[in-house]
This record gives sequence, C-alpha cells and structure tokens, in this order.
Amino acid sequence: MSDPLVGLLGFVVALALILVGMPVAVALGLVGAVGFAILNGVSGAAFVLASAPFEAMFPYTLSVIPLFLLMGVFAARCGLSRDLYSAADALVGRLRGGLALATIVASAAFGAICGSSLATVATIGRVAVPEMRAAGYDDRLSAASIAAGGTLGVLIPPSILLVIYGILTEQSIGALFSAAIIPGLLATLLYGLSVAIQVRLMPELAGPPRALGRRERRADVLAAWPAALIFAVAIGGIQFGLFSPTEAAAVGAAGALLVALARRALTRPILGAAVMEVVSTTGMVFFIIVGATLFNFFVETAGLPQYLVGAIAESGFSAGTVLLLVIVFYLVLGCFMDSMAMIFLTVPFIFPVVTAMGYDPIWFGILVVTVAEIGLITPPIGMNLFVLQGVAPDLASRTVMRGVVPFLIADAVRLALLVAVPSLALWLPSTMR
Amino acid sequence: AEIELKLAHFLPTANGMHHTFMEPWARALEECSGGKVAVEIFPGGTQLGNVAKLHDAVRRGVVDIAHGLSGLPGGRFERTRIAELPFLFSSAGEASEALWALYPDYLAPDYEGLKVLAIHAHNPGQFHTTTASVTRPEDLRGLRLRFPTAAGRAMIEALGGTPVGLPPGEVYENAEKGVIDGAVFTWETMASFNLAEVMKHHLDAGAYVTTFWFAMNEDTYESLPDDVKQCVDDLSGDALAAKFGPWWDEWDAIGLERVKAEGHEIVVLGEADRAAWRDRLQPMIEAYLAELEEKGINAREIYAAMQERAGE
Amino acid sequence: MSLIRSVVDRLFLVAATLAFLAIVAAMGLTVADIVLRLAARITALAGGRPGWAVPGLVDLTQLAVMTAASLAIAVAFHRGTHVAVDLLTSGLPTGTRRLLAVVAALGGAALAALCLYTGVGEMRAQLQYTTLSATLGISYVWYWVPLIAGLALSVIAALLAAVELWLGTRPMQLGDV
Ligand code: NA
Ligand code: NA
Repeated sequence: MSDPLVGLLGFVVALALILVGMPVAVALGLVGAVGFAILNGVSGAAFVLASAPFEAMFPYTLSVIPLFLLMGVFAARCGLSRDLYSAADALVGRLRGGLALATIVASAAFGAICGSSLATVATIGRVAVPEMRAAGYDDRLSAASIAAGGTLGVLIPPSILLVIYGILTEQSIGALFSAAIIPGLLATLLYGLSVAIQVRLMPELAGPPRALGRRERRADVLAAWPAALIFAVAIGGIQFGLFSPTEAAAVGAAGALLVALARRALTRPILGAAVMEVVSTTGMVFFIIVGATLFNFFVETAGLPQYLVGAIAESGFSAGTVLLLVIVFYLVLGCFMDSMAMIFLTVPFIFPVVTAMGYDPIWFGILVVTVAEIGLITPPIGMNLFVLQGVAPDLASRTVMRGVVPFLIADAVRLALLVAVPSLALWLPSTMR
Repeated sequence: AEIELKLAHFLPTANGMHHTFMEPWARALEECSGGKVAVEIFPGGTQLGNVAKLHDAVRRGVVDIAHGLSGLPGGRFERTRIAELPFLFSSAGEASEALWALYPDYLAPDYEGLKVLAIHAHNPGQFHTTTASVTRPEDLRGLRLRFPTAAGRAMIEALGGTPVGLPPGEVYENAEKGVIDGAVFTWETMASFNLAEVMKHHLDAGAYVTTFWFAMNEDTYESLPDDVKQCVDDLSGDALAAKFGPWWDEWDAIGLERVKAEGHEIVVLGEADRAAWRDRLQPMIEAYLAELEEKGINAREIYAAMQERAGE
Repeated sequence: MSLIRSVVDRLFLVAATLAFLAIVAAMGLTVADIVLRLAARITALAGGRPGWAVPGLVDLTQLAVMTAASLAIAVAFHRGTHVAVDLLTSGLPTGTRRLLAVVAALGGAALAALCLYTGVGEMRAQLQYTTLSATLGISYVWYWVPLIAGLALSVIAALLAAVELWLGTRPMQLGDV
C-alpha cells in the first residue's frame, strides 16, 4: 500500500472513531500514533508521542487560549457579558435576530484584536450561549452564529494565517493585511444577511424582539461602560504599541478580574465554579491540539496533501478548473486538518502552480485563508464546532452542525464573489502603493 | 527508489537555504546515486520541521538528515556556539570555513551520533530598529530588541538594551505594534521575513554570527551502500563548507537591496568603531567563556583557535 | 469505590486549583511586564532610559501555560469534558452506548499512557542534554515535570472513568470518556 493511501485510510478510521463517540482528541491522537508507527516504525512513533504534547502546549502564542478563557469566565461571572448583551439588545434588539447579529459583530471585533479562531469562539461562546438562551433564541441559531463568527478573526487582520502565507510566498504582509479588510467586512455582512434571512423564514429561531423605551435603552447602553472600557484598552493598547495581540489576552483578563473584584462578584462558590470552568475548557482545547499534532505528523509523512497537490498540478486542466479543484481540495482537507498545518504543507507546492496561471499572489492568499477558515466550521471535523461544544457541553453535535449550514451558504456566496471580483481584495492594497 | 531519506529543516521554502542549498543538494544526491536514493524534504512549519526538535529527530532516526540552528533548544552545541560571541568573525565564508576546520579537533563532541555534513554561519548581522536610530553603543540603552542567540542576548544586555525572546515569524507583528523596538538579525531576514516593511534604521556593526548544522543520522549513514556513502561524502564536508560564503552573500544581498529600495538609514561601522564596541563587550565575552569552562568545556582554547582563524 | 472516588476527587481539585493559579500567574506576569514597559517609556520622556521588564516573560508564561494545560487535560478527563460527537450514538440502545463509552475511555487512557511512557524517556534525554529555555536559561526539566504529572493524572482519570462507566456509577453525558 502506498503511503498516501495509508494516509487516506487514516482519515477514514479517525472519522469512524469520532462518529462512534470517541473523544475527538483521542481518535486523532491514536490514529496519528498508530499510522506513524506503520509508516516509520515504532521508534519513530515513540518520538512523535513524546514530542506532541510538549510541542502542543509550549508555543507562546497559545497562551492566549487560557487567558481569553479566564477573561470570558470573569466577564460572565461578574455580569460584564450581560451588560454587553443588554447594550447590544438596546441597539439592535428591535431587529428580529438582533442578538445573533450582535454576536457576529462582536466576534468580528474580537477577531480584529485576537487572530485566533479557537480563542474567539471560546470567549464569545462562553458569554453568548447563556445570554441568547435567556432571550429565547434557538440553540441552533446561537451556536452557529458563534462558530461562524469565530472564523472572522482568521481573516480580519491581524491574522496569523496571513503572516504565515506572506512568509511562505514572500508576499508583503502589509499588503495581505490590507487586502483582507474588505473581504473580512464582506464576510461579516454576509453572515448578518444570513441571520436576517434565517429569522425571516423561521421566526421561531430567534427570541421575541423586546419593546424598550428610549430611556431604558440609553440606560442599558451606558451601563456597559466597564466592558467597553476593557475592550477599548485592549484594542487601543495594541494600536499604540503598548502590548502585542498575544499580551492583550492578559490585559483583558486582568480588566475583567478588576471589575469582578470591584463588584464583589467573586464569592467562594462562584470562584470554585469559575476555576473548574476555565480549567476543564483549557484542558479540552489543548488536548484537541495534542491529538491534531499527532494526526498531522502522520498525514504529513504519509505525503497525502503533497500527493493531491501534485496530482492537481500535473492534471493539465485549464486555469479555471485548477482553481476550482484547489478550492474543493482545501474545503475537503479542511474538514480534517488544522488550517495552519494545511497551509504550511500545501502552499509551497500550490502557489507556483496557481501564480504561473496568472492569478494574483495577494488575491490567492486571501482565497486560501478564506477556504482554510471555512474548514473550521465544516462538519464533521471543524475545530470551532468542537470548541463551542466544549464551552457549552449541553449543545448536541447535531444542533451545531445543522445550524451552521446557512452560514456555509453565506461562505459559498462570498467565495464566488471573491473569485468573480478579485478587486474586492486587490483594490485596497493598490491604493496604498 | 530503494532508499528513501527524509530531510527536515525549519525554514520556509522561499528561503535561500532551502532553494539554493538543500533542495539542490537533495537532488544532487539522488542523481549521484543513480536513482537509488530519493530524498523527501520537510520544510519549516511542518511537524517534522519544528526547529526545537530537529536535533532529537535526526539522532533518533525519525528523520535521516536535518539542518538546524545550533542554539535551539538551548544547552546544546555549546562548543560550536562559541563562534557566536560578538565581533569574532567578519564574514560567513570566514566563519563557515573556520568551523569546518575546527570540527575534528575541537567541536566533534557536540555532534555525537551524527554524521556531520556541514557547519556554517551567516554573515555578521545588524541592529535593525523601527524608530530609534542606533549608531553608538549608548543608543541601545532601554531599547527592547529581539535577540538571535544566547551570546546575542548577553551582548544586548551588556550594552544596556532589553533582550526579548521571539520566534523569527513573530518579529514582524511585534515590531509593527511597537512591542519591540528592533531586532538583532541578518540582512537576509529583511526580505525573507518582510522586516524591511517595519525596520527603518539599520546599523551594520558586523556584530555577531549565528551557527547552523547540517547532519545525517550516523546509523543511517552506516547502513548506506558504499557508492551512496561516497556520494554523501563528495557532496558534503570541504566541498560544501566553501560554498556558504558566496551563498550567504547572495541571500543577504536580496535583503540589503530591499532595505536600500525603501530608502532607509543604513550606517556601517568601520574597523576602529568595531574595536571600540568589542572592548566594551570584553567582560561579557569573558563571563560567557568562564561559564562554559565551569561545565568542563575547554571554551577559552576553542575561542582562541577561532580568533586565530578569524585573524587569518 | 466511593472512598477511592472521594480521594481522587480531592486530588483533581488540587490539580485544577494549581492549573488555575498558573493561568492567573501568566496573566499577572504579563500585566506586570506591560506596566514596567509603560513606566520605562514615561521615564524615557524625562530623559532616562531604563530597560525595565519582567525577566524572561516569555519563558515564564510558557512554563505557566505548560503547567496549566497539562493539569487541565487531566481535569477534563476526570470531569468528562473532552469533546466527543454524538451524531450517531445518541440513537443507540443504552447497552451499546455504554460499551462504546467504555472503549472511548480506555482509548483515552491508552493515548495518555503512551504519551506518558514515551514522555518519561524524552524527559530523561533532556536531562542528559541539559536543554535550556531561551531567555532565562532554566532547564527544560521544569517544563517536563508538570507535563509528566498531568499525563499520569490523565491515565488515572481515564481508567477510573472506564471502570465507573462499566459499573454504571457514572452517567453517560455528552463528551464523557
Ligand atoms: Na484577526
Ligand atoms: Na472542518
């Protein structure tokens, strides 16, 4: 059996194990280790097993995950998140599905500072699920708007994936960042449109709009000032170079802690619950990263992505067909693979092929990051879906996966627009030269 | 092919070390072996290309060949890294050839379990800063600078700057946001990591070099048929060592051109100024060597041998 | 069984508290570094140039996150919060679901045990090499100790979950191993 075929078989086995209820991290990790042993021997697998947990927890950039979770828990426990939602409700609550819209805008704003999709989903999810439930929203809509909203952070600068693409292909990171702005706004707009259409067709998805007086509305908006202040400090601090986006997580957590202390919200039982919540969610996210690391070791030595890209490159198809195949390839691979590993493994091979056909390198970067990010919410393996389930354990997988479909349609529309109108990405960088 | 070899390194495929050094090297080995050998490359960003794991991976035979940074993870290749002390070598060619010449007698204990193919160092790197113009040692005071090596960290500290540890891929973002004031780095990174976009001032003090190793698992090498062993030998050692000088000149030139095209401030230190900087750093160099001596490494002897080579 | 359970519960409460404190420590150190930096900048306006910073902030944050994440993985095993998909299993009869849950728990124990066994070997190798962290130059063993402890606790938690699921003394909630 050829190595790529072993890789393909590994995908099938991992998927089967996940579908019979094995924890995602365990399925990915076991298949990764066994597959690596088949391809590279037991001693190689031992090396990989010993390395994966260390390498999954060591990178400094991942410190944002526990810190943003900490911020989310403090914010929720001291009522900051409720304040924020009341304010959002006061502003857009008259619209049907207003809270879902607010969730998407909040995710986009958060993504603008953070850059990590998992951290965005974990933070916003922790806050938004209970609030939307209290407002009478169907889990299907609330869960999906959080998972989809989380992907916005990947595209809206600063974006880790765009930095990596820029380094791999020697493209200007500044140009990539400015090229991502309009597609990022477009994505936000289309998600909003998707929500509006969903609640029009199925009014039962959203809670009833609340009739608020003007004074109540203003009071609700003003009451959110501590939350707004924390947000302003976090964003302003990054903009003025006081700290890095990675460090902003610590600032946000400290801000939420101060508010919680000031409001005397951290009673002993609440603190106990907060500890358990932060810790078990942290463990859940990092264990998935451990499993995915093991799985990626296996897939990459099996040479599956490289093999598929090679097949596309040598197919002799027309430029349009190749582009279509590339998009399909990323979407399918994205169902299983971590987006960052996917970009590292495939872009060096695919980039020369695509640019030789006359496609713009900056535009292609936006396209690749867009499809890689869509992979985060495509079932059956979508990291955002898993993290969301971890944050709100009583959400059923089916609810989350069904709910995400209308957002995937919005993504398809966006992809089509990006392909049909490349200047959506290229206009802004062209004005900056 | 009957023999499949895995070569892992930590650099993006757009980097010169990948496309002018390792990729052609791998193809040359395949060709020399008459098709007996196939080399698959795992570049930076892949799991196998994790910079901190390359040394372990190649010693354990998880990959057959690897190209790594001597300084990551810390605490290894301590003899080789003496070459990273400030103001010792003044060009990549000089440093790379000196390292290879000193390898058998002085540096070999660093490379247990490995068939060493090459040891090399880049052209002396610069102080690159975002807004502060640096021309004298005093100008570094209070600046937060990304450091390249352990010796580079000690150098920044000795000059009054604050060393900041960051992976190369994160320098851009942190410099753009002003979290760091600059980086001690090569010209090459100005292009390959796009740093010319954020670093506006450049002091070419010829301050330091970073060392790299390129090696094969010893058991893998021993298991090769004699003709393939011969191919490996012919493609490495002296023949390879001599190439790094011109290569590094070529790679650095790309970054320097980018910086010039942006119209940035570039200051080049003369020999007299370099001597003054070196004098200031003498206590730091002494302390660095003394610490190694305490670990039982003949650091002063190795340093002297390197100085002799550098003076030639 | 219930005595074992209560002892283990206490053990994991300690682990969770330590993990939480590590996260809070990472937060505190980062904020302290930012404040020092800000103070240094303000002093710089008055002509001074102090390089105030928390020494080795990145190293220390990594150590804290390593500690927190390793222990947290074990706590998540204990509390059954590792994510699983119930797409197909929710419709199955209880007996089958229980069997699958036991198998899943044993799979988790096996993965953690494999990582533990190979990890101990790797830690020994690091000891031999005295691998050091980038800025502070502290030994990597400090990073490995919490990792090994977390993996060992994970094995215990997953095995206990398997036994309890088999005996029916643990509910099969979603994401339960
Ligand atoms: Na972002
Ligand atoms: Na997916």
